[in-house]
Formats: sequence, C-alpha cells, structure tokens
Amino acid sequence: MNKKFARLSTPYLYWLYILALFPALFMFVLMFLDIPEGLDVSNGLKFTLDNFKQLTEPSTLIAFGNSFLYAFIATILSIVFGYLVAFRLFRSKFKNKFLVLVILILPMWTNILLRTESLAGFLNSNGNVVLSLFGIESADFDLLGTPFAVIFGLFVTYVPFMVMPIFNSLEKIDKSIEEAALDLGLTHTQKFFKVILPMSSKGIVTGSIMVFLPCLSGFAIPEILGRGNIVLIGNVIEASFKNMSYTIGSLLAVIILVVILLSIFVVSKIDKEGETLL
Amino acid sequence: MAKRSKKYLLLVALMMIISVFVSGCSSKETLLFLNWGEYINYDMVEAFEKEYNCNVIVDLADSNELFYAKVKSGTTAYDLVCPAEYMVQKMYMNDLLQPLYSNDEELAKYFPTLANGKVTFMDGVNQIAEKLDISMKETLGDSYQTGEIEKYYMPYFWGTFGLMYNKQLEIFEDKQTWDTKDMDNPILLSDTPDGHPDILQRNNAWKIFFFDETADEVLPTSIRVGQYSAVRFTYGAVMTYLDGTPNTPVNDGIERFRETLSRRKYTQWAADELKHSIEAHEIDMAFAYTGDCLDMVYLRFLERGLTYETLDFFTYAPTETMAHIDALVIPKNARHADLARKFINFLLIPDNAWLNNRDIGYLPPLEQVYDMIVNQKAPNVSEDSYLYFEETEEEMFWRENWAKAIQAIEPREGMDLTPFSYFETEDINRLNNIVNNIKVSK
Repeated sequence: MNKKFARLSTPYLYWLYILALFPALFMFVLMFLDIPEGLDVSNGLKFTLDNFKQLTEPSTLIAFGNSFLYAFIATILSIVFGYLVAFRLFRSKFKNKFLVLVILILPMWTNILLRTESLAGFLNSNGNVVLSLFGIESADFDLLGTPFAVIFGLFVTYVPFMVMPIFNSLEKIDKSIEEAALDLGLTHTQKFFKVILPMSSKGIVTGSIMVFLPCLSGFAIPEILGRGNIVLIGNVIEASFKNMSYTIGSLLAVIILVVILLSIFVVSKIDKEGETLL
Repeated sequence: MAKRSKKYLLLVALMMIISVFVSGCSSKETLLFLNWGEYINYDMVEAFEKEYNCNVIVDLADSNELFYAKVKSGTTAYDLVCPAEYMVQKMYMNDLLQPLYSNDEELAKYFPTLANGKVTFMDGVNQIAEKLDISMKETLGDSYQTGEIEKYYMPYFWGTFGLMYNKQLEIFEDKQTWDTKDMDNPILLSDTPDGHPDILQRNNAWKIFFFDETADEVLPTSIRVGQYSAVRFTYGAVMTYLDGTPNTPVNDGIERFRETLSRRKYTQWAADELKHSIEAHEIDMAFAYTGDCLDMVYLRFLERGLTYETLDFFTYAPTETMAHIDALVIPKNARHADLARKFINFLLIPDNAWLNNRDIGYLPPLEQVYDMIVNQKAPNVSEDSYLYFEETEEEMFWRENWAKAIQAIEPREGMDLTPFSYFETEDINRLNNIVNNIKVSK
C-alpha cells in the first residue's frame, strides 16, 4: 500500500530537482564566473574570484552581521513567548486544542506582504491604527524604520513556527513520567526544569531553526518595516539580482544556503525520528 | 506497472491538449504588451480590442532593467514593450528591436496622423529625443545615421523628475523666508496657473533636498525626507544638483555622491512607496517622478473632491532636472508586429490618447492631447461612443482641476531637461555599495 503511494511523489521529486537543486548548482557555478551583466556570456566563460571582493565591502559584512543578530534576537523572543504559549496550551483543560492552534496559524493564511503592511500601520507615527482608537492623530515617536520595528515584525510573523513544534514535543511527554518526578520528591519548578524542559528541547531546536532561517534570509519585512533604512543580507541579494548582477547575488545566496543546509543537518542529527515538522 | 504509467502519461497529455484547445479556442489575435504597473487606461484597451477584434494582454514589469531582461531572454515573445529612452537605446544597440517603420512610405501607411502632420510632439519630447539621438551618435560614431533611432520607438508618456512635498507644512508655507533666503538665484514665481503657492519654486530646490549648508536654516533636519532607492536615479539627482547633468561618469562623481548623500538621514528609502508615504503624511518631501505625484493628485480630485488649490501635497520640478520618455517599441521576435503598429497608431489619434491620459498622471507626448486637456475639451463625438463623457458638474470639476495640475507639471520655459544615459551593471553595483554603506553607518 505504502509503496504504491510513494510513487505519487515522483513528480514532486522531479519538480524539486528542476526547480531547487539545479538552480542551486547553477548559482554555485555562477559565483565563480566573470559575467558583466545578467546571463550574457557572449564574451565567453571566464573563471574569476573577483566576485568575492563583494565580501570585503563594509555594508555586506554589516548586512550579514545584522541578519544574524536580528534573526538571533527574533529567535530568542520566539522561544520565550512561543514556549509560554505552547506550555499554557499543553496544560489547559481546553478540549479542542487543535482549534487554538488553528487560530494561531490563521493569520498565516493571508499574504505576508499584507500582514507586514498592516504591522507598519501599527508602528508608524501618523495615522497609527492603535492611536486613532484613542483619538490621537499623530505621535512624536516613530517606530517605523527602527531596528525594533524589524525585529518585532520578524518575531510576530514567525512565532507560530515556534509554537507548533514545542507543543508537539510537549504533547508527547508521558503523563506517568511527570508523576514519577513528583513522586521522587521534585517540586513543580524542579520538575519543569529537570524533566519537561529537557524533554521538549527537540521542539525548541526545530522551532528555532524554523524561525531563524526565514528571519536570516528574508527581505520584505526589513524593507517595509525598516523603511529601506535597515540593510539585511536578503536586501543586498535582492538588489543584486534586480540589477542583473547575478554573479554577486549568487555568491551571497550560496553563503546563506550553506548556513541553511548546515542548520538542517544539525536538526536531522538531533531529531532522528523526524517527529518534528521538518 | 508499465501499463499504469502509460495511463498516467495519457492523462497528462490529454489535459495538456485540452488546455491548449481551451486557450486557443478564440481565433482572435492576441497582443502581448509588457508595460509598467498603473500605466494604461483599460477603457482605452477595451476600445482597441473592440475596434480590431483582438485581445490585449498586459504584463507588468517594474524596472527598465527588467524590461531589457525579459525582451532579451525571449521566453515570452512580447509584441509591445514600454521602456524609457535609455533602455530603448540599449535594446537598439543589442539588436533586439525592429523598426516601427523603415521609410516615409511605411510611416504614411502605418501612422497616417503622424505622417500628415495632424499630430505633433511637444517641445519637451523633441528636446529629449534630440539628446537621445546625439548620445547615439556619440556612442556609435559614423556607423550611426542621424535620426535612425526615431524609427524604432514611439513616445507613450513623458515627464520630469521632481520633488514631491507636503503643502500643509508650515515650513513650505512661509514664503517670506524662502524667497529672501537666496538672493543670487532669482525665483520664478509666475509660471504656475493661479499663482500656486509653490514654495519650492527656486532654482536651487536641489540644494534644499540635499541639505546644502546654505539651505539648512530653510529646511531643518526635522523635516522627514524620502530618498529614491533605485541608485541610478539617486545618483542622477545628486549629479544634477552638483554638475547639472545626471550622467556624470561614476568614476568622476562617486566620492561627491557619497559625501552628498551622507549629509542627511533619510527617513525612508523606497521607490513607488514614497508617493504613498507623502500622501499619508509619513514623510514631508521626496524625490519622485512628477507624473507619479499627479496620479495621486487625480485621486484627490476624484475621490475627495479636493481642488487644485486645496491639495495637501504637490510636486515641483527644479529648473535643471532629469526627464524621461517612456516609448513603445516592438521587439524583434514579436509575433504580432502589425497589430502592435495598429495599437501605436490607435494612440496617435488624439481622442484615444486623451482617454488613456485620464487615468495616468504623466504628460501626453502629443501637443494636440495636451491642448485638449488644458482647454478642458473632450472628444467631439456622439453619445454612444466610448469617448463620450457627459458634461456633468463632476466631470467639469475634474477637467478644470486636471487642466491646472497638468499645466503645473508641464516643463516651464527655460528648463534644462536631461534624459538618463545607460550605466553598466558594474557601476550600479558600486553605487549600490555606497548607498548601503551610508545606510549602515547611520
């Protein structure tokens, strides 16, 4: 039975080869080529390491640094708040927990650009949605265009990715293990830190990867909430491709790709049973 | 197993065949038009479709570079593309275009209104076209025959670049300060209709925008300024302010570009979003296409009933500024070149161009259309025509304000309009790096 269904995945595999693997390899080749513009190879293929000069630009280095920093902060925030939500849900007596999860994911059914634009409506000083509820037309502060706005946007957008795996790993903890811990004399706080937290750590790791990676490579959120003032590596890559400088764009994209692959490798080592979402 | 996979294949093949039939069912010709967003009036398209019994599919791109890439790759055979003049030049030099007409006979055959002089181009268009021709000659040398490029494009809309600003701000109202601030540069005040309180109407408007020391008292740092994020335009604006031309070679201008942009912290770096930010009063001043501003102004007239005088924002083009012609060209691999010519000719009939212009804030290339708008005239047609607009109070209100607004962005006499020249990818990369370095250092 299973085998028959497995064949249904064949088209998807080809799809994956053609649209994911091949472009990645192509980008890998491109980063070593000397192409003045687009894919114009009328002057012949020339090997070069010139593209790597882009990595010595202060803006590129800072963009990489910022991307890691912002993604890191957003991930930490997501772990803290995501865990609280998942734990509260796990402990609640509510019958239909699935419904709560659906409500959590519901905003993700709308387009990410729309969500980001409406977040911008929360953060700007003029015509602020929240302030106008209190009859205030404009405020002195302007959060839009600050690092705070970008981190807040990343956190709000990706925190559901954290809640799901943590909740899943919490659900898998056997009730009797908790009872045993209490029987053996642990307080509730000790039980949490010595039993529950370690047992749900897989969920935290997977969730972290799932929040960290899109934060690292995204460009729409910093563009909109940072008002073009915050440069993350995703923005540099986007600008390179827009400018038809495919070689430099490929170089930067491949670096991000390597980081992503390494992270997934780490997850696969930790989560051998594949019980989390990845 | 083999049998089953054959069945699957058959199914897939069947679906493909069906889809081909469904899409190809109509015998109508289809015109594939690659255009900018919000850059065509679909009423006009519909009229064209009816008249020539065809379909028009409008695809969108958001940069001249993308136009070039799409035409060059040739994966979709577009029949009509609308790049700016410098990209027309590049497409021509890379042999991607076919002529709209190759001699006077063909001109008369395809574009009769143009051939017999019933329509003529506005001065600004001619000025830009001339500069484009000179630039072609400089690049290609003797192998280029003067005027050759004209056969390859037809102006669609044109306009200048300017500074869009919030009119409600006190600083822009206090005419006294502004007028007396710079006695060396005379102020041109009389050129807009009804003495529009155009406070930016100074020769050195660029100075204010780029926070020149001589202007710092006039425009304090608390003013929120938006800067264009497409570096070719940013660089063009800086160099127009410094050298009077947007086309200073990057090697000569790059250090000054860095210095000038570092003076101020820009509240927002964006492209089309800038006009929306001005509208939402999130920024006070930004560098943008003047036509883009008028797009927003038209909505103010039509949706909020504001008049030209009571507008809350407007735009001002400095005396020395950049200008552009967006032109219709036919790529070499076009499948329906003749239909594309018909489309171009359709727009060379002033009434149709007038209809197209109702939705778009840019300037019409045809003098006749401009005159119609300014004189608040509509096409002289019967009631059942697609060109008929009942002269209601609302319509007359719109026409009156439309006329004033378009007159205000029509280049004044004595203005120096320069089109952009094409920059190599490598140069743009360098400019991008500089802008990013400035952004991260703030």
